[in-house]
Amino acid sequence: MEQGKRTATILVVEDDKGQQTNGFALEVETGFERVVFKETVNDALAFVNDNLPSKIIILLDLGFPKSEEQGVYFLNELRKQSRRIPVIIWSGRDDIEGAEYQEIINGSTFAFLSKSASSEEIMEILRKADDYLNSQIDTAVESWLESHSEEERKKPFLKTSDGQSYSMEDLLREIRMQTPFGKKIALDINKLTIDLLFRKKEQI
Amino acid sequence: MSEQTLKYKFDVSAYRLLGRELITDRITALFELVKNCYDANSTRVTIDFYDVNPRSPQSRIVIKDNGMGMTFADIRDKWMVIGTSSKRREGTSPAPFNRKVTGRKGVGRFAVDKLGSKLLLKTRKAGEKQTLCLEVDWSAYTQEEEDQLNLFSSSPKLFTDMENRYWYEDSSDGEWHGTVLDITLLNDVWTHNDIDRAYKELSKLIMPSFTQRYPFEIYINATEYDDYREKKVESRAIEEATLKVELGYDEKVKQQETLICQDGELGRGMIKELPCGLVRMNIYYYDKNAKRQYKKTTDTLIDGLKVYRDGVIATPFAEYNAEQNLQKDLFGIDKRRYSGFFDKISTRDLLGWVDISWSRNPNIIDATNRQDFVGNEAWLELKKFVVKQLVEIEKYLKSKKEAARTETESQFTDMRVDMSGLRKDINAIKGLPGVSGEARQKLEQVEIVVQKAQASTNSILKEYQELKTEKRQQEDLLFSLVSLQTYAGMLSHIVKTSLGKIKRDAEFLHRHFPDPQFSAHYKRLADQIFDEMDRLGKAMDFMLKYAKDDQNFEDIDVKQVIENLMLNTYRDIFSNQHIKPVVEINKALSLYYNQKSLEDIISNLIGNSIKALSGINGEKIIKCSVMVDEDMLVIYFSDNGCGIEEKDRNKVFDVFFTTTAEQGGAGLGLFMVKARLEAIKGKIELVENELRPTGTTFKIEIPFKKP
Repeated sequence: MEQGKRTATILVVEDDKGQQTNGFALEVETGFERVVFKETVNDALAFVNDNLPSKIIILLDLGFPKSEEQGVYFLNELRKQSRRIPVIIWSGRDDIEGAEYQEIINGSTFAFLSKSASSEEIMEILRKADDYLNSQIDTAVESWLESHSEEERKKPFLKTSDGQSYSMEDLLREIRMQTPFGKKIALDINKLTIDLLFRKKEQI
Repeated sequence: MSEQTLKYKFDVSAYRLLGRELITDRITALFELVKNCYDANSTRVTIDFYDVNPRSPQSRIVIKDNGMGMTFADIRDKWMVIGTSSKRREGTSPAPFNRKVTGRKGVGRFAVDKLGSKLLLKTRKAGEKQTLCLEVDWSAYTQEEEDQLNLFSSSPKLFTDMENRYWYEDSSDGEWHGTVLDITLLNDVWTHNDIDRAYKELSKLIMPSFTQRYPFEIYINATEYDDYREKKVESRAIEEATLKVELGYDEKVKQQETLICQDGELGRGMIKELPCGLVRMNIYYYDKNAKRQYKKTTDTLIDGLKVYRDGVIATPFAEYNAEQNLQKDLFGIDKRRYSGFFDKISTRDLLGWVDISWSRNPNIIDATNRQDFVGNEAWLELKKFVVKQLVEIEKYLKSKKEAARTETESQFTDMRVDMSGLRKDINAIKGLPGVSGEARQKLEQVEIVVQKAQASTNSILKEYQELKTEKRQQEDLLFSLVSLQTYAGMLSHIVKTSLGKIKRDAEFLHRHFPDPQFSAHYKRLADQIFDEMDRLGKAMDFMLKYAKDDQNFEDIDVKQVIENLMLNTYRDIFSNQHIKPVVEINKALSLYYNQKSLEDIISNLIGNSIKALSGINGEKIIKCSVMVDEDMLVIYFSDNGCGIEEKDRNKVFDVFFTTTAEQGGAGLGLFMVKARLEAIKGKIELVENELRPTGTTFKIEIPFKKP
């Protein structure tokens, strides 16, 4: 890992190839470990699917060639898989209204950026999204994971009442994939954290 | 000095020049050749297209009929003679068909020349054992023509010196008689689209669906196009009729069907058989719009009612009259004064036939001059019966018109007409012998009042019409503003995207230059800024041009505009790049649009085609054909260039999409074309390439009427 770079993957879903060589791409690369461009909505969905357990922030264009799936479709499909990934709309349009508007709000988008935004504005939003991700349980679990050896992470770590066993990495995956078990464990961790934290509140 | 004579000489190039004047396009050429088949009493013509796309040595068109065929004398004295007027002298084809001759004066030979350079003609008269074959090889003539263009040609050969081989063949296909034109060394590619146009044109030769003893059927085959397999050409004339009436009879109870107009509805009833016998009758009535449409789809005239006996035209025939006014009005339709002048149907609003037979109608007898029927009771009754049907139709139309007569303008017009009628009547009464001086004075007073009323009606009508024109202009303006708004929205998107890119490229330079860590990128970023600025500039130009241009709508001549672009404006460029322009527009078409916009659209497509053709070896074609489809002007624009890759087909109209950035493409052209067309409710789409094996075809539709 290069010094000072953030670990999230920035996925730019954008059909305009010109953006890949644009100054902003270089700028994002100075602050984030990985920047990935996908030119079609379906390619982007496949990418997310393959990389779901890792930390992703999405910059999403809305307009794609008429014959192809549009940005809103991407959002809807993504939300069927995960509600946790921050999506930043990046559009040149200022006429978003009606059903499309509703879908964007209901898709829990993180922010809206104009196509004419500066790299600094884009970076600021990306950093915010990254901070947000870091405050989430899964990221906390992830950094906790890092304090363990590779070997330890893969070992069976937790056994449920129905006999299913999970390694530390499995645990992270379950939380990120938001499986029923993942949701339950996240909730339990939260409860426990609050309980533990406030039981000894004089020490905070 | 002794007197001598000089002879005219006719060389080959003069002959061909003449041909090009007479037959301007290949659809017309094909049409003329098929007309010749009709004139030769054929009942069936097949046109076969073999390997016509792309053009190759195997490309071939075969036109085969089952007509009379020609004798050696016919060939020698008619086919080989330019401008034979035998057809015109005779006026109809030989009995029993008695078809009104449709072909033009001896232009068939030129028509063949238009299609291809080599002709193998085979012809056989009925009953003959042998088929006469004639070979005409124009490629030899072309050589001769080129030689003649050479100033130092030693022996200028005359057209009349050209020799054509002929021979006789023993026939294998039994009873066949007729003529086959087997044309090779074709001049042009025949795309699917071209054959569609030919089909459309040929459908004009077909009589509306009616069982004749001597029908005329055309079939088209094209080896390369699946939907042209023994495809029968059908008439479209009747589709356009405003009103279609079919009357029959009941032979068992000897009753005749007749029209009855009651309470504004056109119904049918049965009456006792008339002295003329039972008849079947088809009447097609065309109102003004339908007539206009009819003219577009067929070449025949709406020329009243005809009588067919046992499927063969009985009358009117053998009376070719170009002047429609002089044509025979068999039923006296135009002479009637039954109803008001404006509600009366004339022969020019009607198409139809009365179907009689010797068995059902023995008392209707041909007059000896064959121009009419013997004026006996049977014929007079039939005439009355036919006119009665028209009167019922008139009643129906009148009541319909009255019901619909709410529009101010038509009321004004009628009022004006009524008043002028009134004045005529007053004058007529004044002139009658029994009218007293006092009455005459009174009438004069009335006349003055009417005159005044007429004048004010006129001025109101004029004002109304001016208002209408003004409204139309306002609508045009509003319309172009609305579309401008839509595209201003799109352009704001473009500008934002572009500005954002420029800003972020510059931002990076600003922030990091001259950090050596990024030195590999600085030059590229600077280039990108420059290119993006350039695009932005083009977008701005487009926006301004768009805002300026599209407000002046006028009636423009599509043929002239397109021909001028393709054949004049781009002539030098085309000839430098060895591109063959093909324009296929067979008549002048008037379109209510902005001329500059149409020119821009075509120029854009031409520009793209030139780029697409730049890497092509062999024949390069840019082709623009125009046709009419209902209320749409349809332009097919094609080239046989490199074509568009499958993955890009859906994106070609997207703004800033370009595959020719190195050649200066900004990705605005097709976007602009689409934007313009959509603004006038038109369309452009990428369709299957009509020129093979590679190429691009755009289909453009522009509405004739503004939306």
